[in-house]
Amino acid sequence: MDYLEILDLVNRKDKKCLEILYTTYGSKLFSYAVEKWSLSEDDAWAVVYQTLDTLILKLSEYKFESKNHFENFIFKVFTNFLRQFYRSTRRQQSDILFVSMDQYIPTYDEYTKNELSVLEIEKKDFEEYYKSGKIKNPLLIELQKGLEKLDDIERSLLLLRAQNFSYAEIAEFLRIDNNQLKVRHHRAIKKLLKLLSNVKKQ
Amino acid sequence: MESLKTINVLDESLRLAWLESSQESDSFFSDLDLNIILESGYSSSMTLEKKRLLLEALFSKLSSFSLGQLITNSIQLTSLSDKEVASQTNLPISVLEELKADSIFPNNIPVILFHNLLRLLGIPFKSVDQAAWKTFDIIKSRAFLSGIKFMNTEPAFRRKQNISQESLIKINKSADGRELFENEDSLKKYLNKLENLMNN
Repeated sequence: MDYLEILDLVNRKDKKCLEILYTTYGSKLFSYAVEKWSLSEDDAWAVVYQTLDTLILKLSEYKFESKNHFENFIFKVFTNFLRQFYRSTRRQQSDILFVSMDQYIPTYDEYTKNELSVLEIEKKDFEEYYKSGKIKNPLLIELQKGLEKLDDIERSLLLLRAQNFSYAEIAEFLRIDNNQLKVRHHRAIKKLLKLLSNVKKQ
Repeated sequence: MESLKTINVLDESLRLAWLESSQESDSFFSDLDLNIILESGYSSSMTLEKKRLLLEALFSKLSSFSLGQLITNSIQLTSLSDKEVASQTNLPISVLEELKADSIFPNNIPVILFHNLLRLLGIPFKSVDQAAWKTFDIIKSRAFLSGIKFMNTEPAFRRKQNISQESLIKINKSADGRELFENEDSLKKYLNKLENLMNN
């Protein structure tokens, strides 16, 4: 259904808009929150409920110029709630062990291991974020800037892998050869870490 | 013994970067992200029972009136102008307008004056109770949305009406002490007081 028709149904308080919003967006966002962000089903339900609730309350106050605008709005509302629940979930987890990257990925070469060692991001840095919602560690801030310097494929690859998408899924989405992806992923990590280590040396 | 959940520091850092960036107008989040999320095949799904609960809860929100709508509709049913309503209830006209636009928490209004308004318009407590909570949600979500930066063209696709920057500032303003009253507990107490007044 066209987004304008959805908006019209919301404005008219037509019950059909709920089923359509759920089928088109809510059900997928629920599965995404559970599978890719490890939220409990109850939390994912709450994220979807709050997202759709905000949409039905607020959509009529906005004017959208295109489907992209409309979906961008939906996605931002969703990610804001996802962010809140993700932080809350992490705050409650007492069984987390943060593993530095060189130990976690043994296939890395020595060069990469050395590069990884500059990334001094510790458990407390994450805990601070889960608690306050603010990123304070300078390396985490630089990481965001570093991502902007990567090309689109490298950036998407890193961000999608971090969200537990498989190489096969990413290859399909990005329309690139799956065989090269693992290598490209490692190269993208190296590139990002190099950017970070340069910043750290300055 | 339960095993520890291991988290890769880089992946977690990237997840945080993505979450934070998704709130920015110049984020590296793209249309691709939403397509990926919507087009992925998932093995889990919401149970039918939970879906039913979700749609029922949303429907009750969708079908209820906000305080602004309730007051606007009730004024239309009388032959009074806004000015006359304001003067007969001793409410400043600007406050009445804010009420109609759902841009003020009802518990910011002296309960006696609000009681006068409801009595004049013949609005029963039950309707006000439900509508006040919807208005509460509207204002909260407006404040919440004001913190999210949309696409670069944001100002162009916002309507000029009752969600002006001015009203958002008003909602978010924390220096005038309003925030002390703008929470669930205060609204509950206010509505209890109002109910007592209306029953006496």
